[in-house]
Amino acid sequence: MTKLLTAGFTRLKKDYLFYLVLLFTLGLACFMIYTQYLDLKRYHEVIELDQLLMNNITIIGIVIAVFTSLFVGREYSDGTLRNKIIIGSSRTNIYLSNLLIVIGVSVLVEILHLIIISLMGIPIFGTLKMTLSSFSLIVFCILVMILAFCSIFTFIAMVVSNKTISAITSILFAFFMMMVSITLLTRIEAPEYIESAQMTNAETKKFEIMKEKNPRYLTKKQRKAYQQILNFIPSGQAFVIVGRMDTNYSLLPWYSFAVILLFTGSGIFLFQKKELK
Amino acid sequence: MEIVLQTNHLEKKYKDFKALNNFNIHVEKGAIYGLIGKNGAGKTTLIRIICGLQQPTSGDYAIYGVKSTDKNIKKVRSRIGAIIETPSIYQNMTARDNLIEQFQLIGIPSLEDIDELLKLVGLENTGKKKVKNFSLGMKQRLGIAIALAGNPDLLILDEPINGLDPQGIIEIRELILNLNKKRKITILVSSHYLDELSKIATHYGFVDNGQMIKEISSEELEKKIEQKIELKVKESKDFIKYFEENHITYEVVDNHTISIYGKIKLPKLMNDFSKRKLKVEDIHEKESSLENYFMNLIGGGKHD
Repeated sequence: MTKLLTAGFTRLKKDYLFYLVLLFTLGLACFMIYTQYLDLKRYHEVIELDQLLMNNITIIGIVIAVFTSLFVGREYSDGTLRNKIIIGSSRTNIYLSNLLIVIGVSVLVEILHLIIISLMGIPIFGTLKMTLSSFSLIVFCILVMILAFCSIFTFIAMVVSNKTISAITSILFAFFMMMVSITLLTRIEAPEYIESAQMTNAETKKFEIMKEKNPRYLTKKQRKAYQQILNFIPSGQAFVIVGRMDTNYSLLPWYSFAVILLFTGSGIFLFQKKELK
Repeated sequence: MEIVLQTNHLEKKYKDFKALNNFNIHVEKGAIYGLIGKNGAGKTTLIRIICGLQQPTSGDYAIYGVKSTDKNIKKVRSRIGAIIETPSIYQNMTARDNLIEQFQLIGIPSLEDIDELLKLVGLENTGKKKVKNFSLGMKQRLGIAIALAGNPDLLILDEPINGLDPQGIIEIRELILNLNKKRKITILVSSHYLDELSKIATHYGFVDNGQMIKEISSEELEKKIEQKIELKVKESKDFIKYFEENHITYEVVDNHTISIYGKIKLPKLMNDFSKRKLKVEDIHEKESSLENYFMNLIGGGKHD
């Protein structure tokens, strides 16, 4: 495993894709600071550093999908995965070493984002509003959520032998998770009543605000189920965290652990059985 | 002679298609074993299985006496270097970086041997040139250098000259001979370029329809392909009887033509024919080649 990791990180250091991801992270953080600074100046909006620190996590899944499919997929497209097996590395170790490298890069991306936003954001927007313990819990949730993303996209990259198909599948799946999360979120946040204005007197043009029961309002049971699905999907967790939804945050990492176990376990199983060319 | 690689009734099925069927091979230590077969004969499937990329449906194999079912097979496999179809190299890296990667995978702490390996395959002057800009021959040679990184005892090369120009073919041929003679590496090389294989192989395995049709040393093969006598006869039946009785390898080409192989003493043969009143209408030695031998083998008309 150590040999696989050493070789993997050496390759990473020489891969332009890695630097492209870091550059993107840097650019995104600077862009976020700049746009928020403009809002502060123009509209005197209250900008919270807390929010800025978290905003990137809604798209981090896409970044991980692109990186993982291209970095791991190269082993299939260049055929170098065969070298690892021929020299006697176990398939489980090959799978796990790739997962660990992807996790390393993804966590580095997140830490880089936090550092850049903190360094540039604190002088402009001030310090954290939330307590350090709450912030630490959120960061922990984010990191475990990132691990869940990594396990999903490593699964796809290791099981699908074609780099192009793997990249397309990963990116589409990242968007699919986002879309499902947004749909669930919309349903969860739907109000119980819908207000509508109805004209009660045409002559005086008098309107009355009517309150109607929202047919899309979830029952308690449905709400619980929707929330659980949302918590289970890493993208859903990202929206929960960014939206500061009222939920038990300490539960989120458990959902992520379940995703990690599910995808890594089945990924290793399928990769063991995979016929390589 | 120590057997480096052998398979035992190996079978590989892809749904209903048998890529390997009751396949048996014996590669001796120090040999350059030429695996000959048409495209789709099962050569690459065999190599993939030996290298651990695929699992056999049934049967087993042994590398240096360690069976494929033994837990130590992965360890023994580290004594193998292989190129399967295309060289396994990172296209966006230099030749040197690719070798560093392989050294780290194997766990070789010192990178001193990299220069020697690059020199051995003639890539010492490629500098910062990325592999994607290499010619096919250069890529193939780098693939061999990577396969040699762990000082393997057995080198497996699957179709190493496919797509190469004449210069590239000569370079690979010389490299294979050099590795076998100087480094004492046993080499299993598959190809459908028969003439090219005949220039390097010390042993041959003829594969067809997933089966090993025949294994033969180059000395034996030379005897067979050098001596082929074609007889034109009126009726082949009695001749066949004679060849069977005297254990002469023959092939019935048609009702009036029989080819015989091996060390044949022509005066004795003619004397025997005369005693048996077997009339030969015409007799002449025919030029033979590995290609003819192979075609005859897979044609299935010949009897040993």
